[in-house]
Amino acid sequence: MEICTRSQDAAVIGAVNGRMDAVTAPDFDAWFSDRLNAAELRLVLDLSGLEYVSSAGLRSLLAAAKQIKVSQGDLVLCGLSGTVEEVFRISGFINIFRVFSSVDQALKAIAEPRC
Amino acid sequence: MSSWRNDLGITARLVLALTVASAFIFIVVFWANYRYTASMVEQQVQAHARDLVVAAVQSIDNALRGVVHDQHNFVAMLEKTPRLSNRQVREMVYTNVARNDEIYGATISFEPFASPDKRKLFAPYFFKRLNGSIGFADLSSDGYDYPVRDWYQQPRTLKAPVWSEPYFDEGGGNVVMTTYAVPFYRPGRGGQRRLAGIATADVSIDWLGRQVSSLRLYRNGYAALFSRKGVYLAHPDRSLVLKESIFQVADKVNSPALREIGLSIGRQENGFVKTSNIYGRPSWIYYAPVPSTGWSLAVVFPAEAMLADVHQASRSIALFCAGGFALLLFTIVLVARTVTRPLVAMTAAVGQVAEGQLDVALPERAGGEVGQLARAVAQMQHDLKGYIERLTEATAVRERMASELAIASQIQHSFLPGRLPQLPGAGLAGCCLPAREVGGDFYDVIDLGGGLLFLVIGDVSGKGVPAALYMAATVTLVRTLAREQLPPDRLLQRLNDELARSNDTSMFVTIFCGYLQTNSGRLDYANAGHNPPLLVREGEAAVYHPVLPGLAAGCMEGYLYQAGMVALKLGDALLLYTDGVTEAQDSGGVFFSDRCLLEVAGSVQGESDLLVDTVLKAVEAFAGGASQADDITMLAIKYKHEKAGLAWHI
Repeated sequence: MEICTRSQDAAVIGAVNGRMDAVTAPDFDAWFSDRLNAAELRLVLDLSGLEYVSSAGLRSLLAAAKQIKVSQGDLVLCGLSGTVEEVFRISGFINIFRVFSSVDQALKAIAEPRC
Repeated sequence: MSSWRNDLGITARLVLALTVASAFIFIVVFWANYRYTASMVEQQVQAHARDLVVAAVQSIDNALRGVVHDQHNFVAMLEKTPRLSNRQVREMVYTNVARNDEIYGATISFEPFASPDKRKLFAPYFFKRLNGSIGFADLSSDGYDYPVRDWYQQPRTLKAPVWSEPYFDEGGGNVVMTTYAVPFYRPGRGGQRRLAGIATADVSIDWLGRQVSSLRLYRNGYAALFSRKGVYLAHPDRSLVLKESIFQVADKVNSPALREIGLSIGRQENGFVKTSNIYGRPSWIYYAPVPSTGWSLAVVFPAEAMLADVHQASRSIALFCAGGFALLLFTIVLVARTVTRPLVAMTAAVGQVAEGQLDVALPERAGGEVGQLARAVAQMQHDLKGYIERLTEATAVRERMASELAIASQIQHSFLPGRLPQLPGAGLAGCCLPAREVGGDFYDVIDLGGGLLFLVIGDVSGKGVPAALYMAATVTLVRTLAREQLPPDRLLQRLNDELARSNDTSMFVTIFCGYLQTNSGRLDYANAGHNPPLLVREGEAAVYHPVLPGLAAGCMEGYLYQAGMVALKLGDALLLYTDGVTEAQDSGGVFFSDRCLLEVAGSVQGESDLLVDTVLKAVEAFAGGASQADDITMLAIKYKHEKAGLAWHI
């Protein structure tokens, strides 16, 4: 798994590529921890390059979402497709995350203060 | 190949190698020394022989030159005084014999009618008798007819002085002699020189033989004198003298080398030859010509005698060598043992270390490489000890954990239904294969009585011990709630709230659960983020039953689930499964997939256990050797009305 990080419009975009499973999930946890430590609280995860996500990966995403909520930040997803989207859909995770089809839409959404 | 050489210790190898090398060196040095000494002796002998022969030849030549010189003076005097009476001639001859030791006999033989008194033949001959007195013989007496004799004819024809081939003088002195014959002349008519006669002097070869015999030769060496034609003139074996030539002897003993010497003598050469002598003994022969007469003197040294010293010396040297070698061998063994003792000790110690005796003491006093080795081994010993200690500890920890895991596995296994309920209306089959010792998957079937069955299958996020603990909590909760016969949606809400309330780890569980009325085939269910069940209907293609997704339980408190219902027909089979089935991977990372599961399950026409077995085998075949990434769990329900049972009652 690889996470390419870039900043745009006061948000940090993490493009996750590869597989997110029990082996690689700790990498994501570390990445997310770095973001929190850097006080980067507006995060967009671009999952268009994600090939596979296991329940361990979902757990990491859920944990991240919970933590950023406590820190009054925001974590949104975009670019879900194929198996990954199916997993999100079946597990119901698609309902607890804010999911957008593109990075631009995600950026737009994250810029607006949440109600 | 025999491995005896490999079995030898380093000491034995060292001793063997040094011994062989030293023996070789000793032999080479000994051989070189022998050859060198022998060649030195040979050179010495050759030089000695040359000196000896040159001196002897000089001596003989001097003696003969004396004769020649006297004879020439004598002839010159004879030619200068033409008016001599017969008596005066006789006196001159007498004086010549009496005054010269070397001259055994002499004559002045005139040409016919050339004597002072013009008689036909005149040849007075004086000779030394054995007793020393001087005898007289008249060679012109009856029957001798000297002018036709060789000693007269040769110088006459050659018009030059001639040494005759040696001969045995019978009648005269009975000695072996040779004659020097010089022609003398008188002034003739018209001032021309006219041959007047031949003056001769006989020289005893016995005298020469004594001269030759007197040569002091070492070690059985002897000298021999040869005429120009190779005839023996002097030899320790007197029977050869004047009777045999070197050629005859060479033929007799069949020695080409001797014949070659004979030819060389004829050519007036000198030489040094190593060959067998006439007695067949290996000899060194040196020869050189006597210039005045053309004879040759040879000295013969038996090689054996010459080399006797060398052999003697060699024996001594060999003895010294053997002694030295023995001493060296002893030293080698001693040194080798001293040098290798620390190594041998090290080897023994290291052998013990290798057998696991890590506390064995190493030889410490050794220096050099062995010392370094000892220190290295000591370090290794220390490290090994530490490593083994750590390993023992780690192993103990691991064993404890393994044992705990085994127990945990047993405990977890006990959470799964040991034996599924047997109801006439529903054939049940299930399996759960954790990827590790313990897993997060589970399934359960509870017979609630009255033909009502509670079914549940779930999958906790992650794997291993955390998942197993979470699973245990979940199963306990689900069972409690199920026994209350809460509707499935309510059941999941309660479960979700319980799990989400204190969920610091953000773990969650996907669950599909429901109540099956076995007498009608109605299944009321609810789903918390679990995979949709697979419906295998007889005579139709298998399908995934569309269920409302719902959120995985434990994520968010207060989530509301929705209930669903499916009416099973007789012969319908419902397969519940976890994503360990559809996401089983082959070695290339390819998923088994929903589609494959659909195909495999759809092909099964039979009981629920056959369905589970078939799918499991297909998944295993698909994965090949690839390790199982996730827990694999299935629960199959085949709906059968108790018609068969009723029929039996009727």
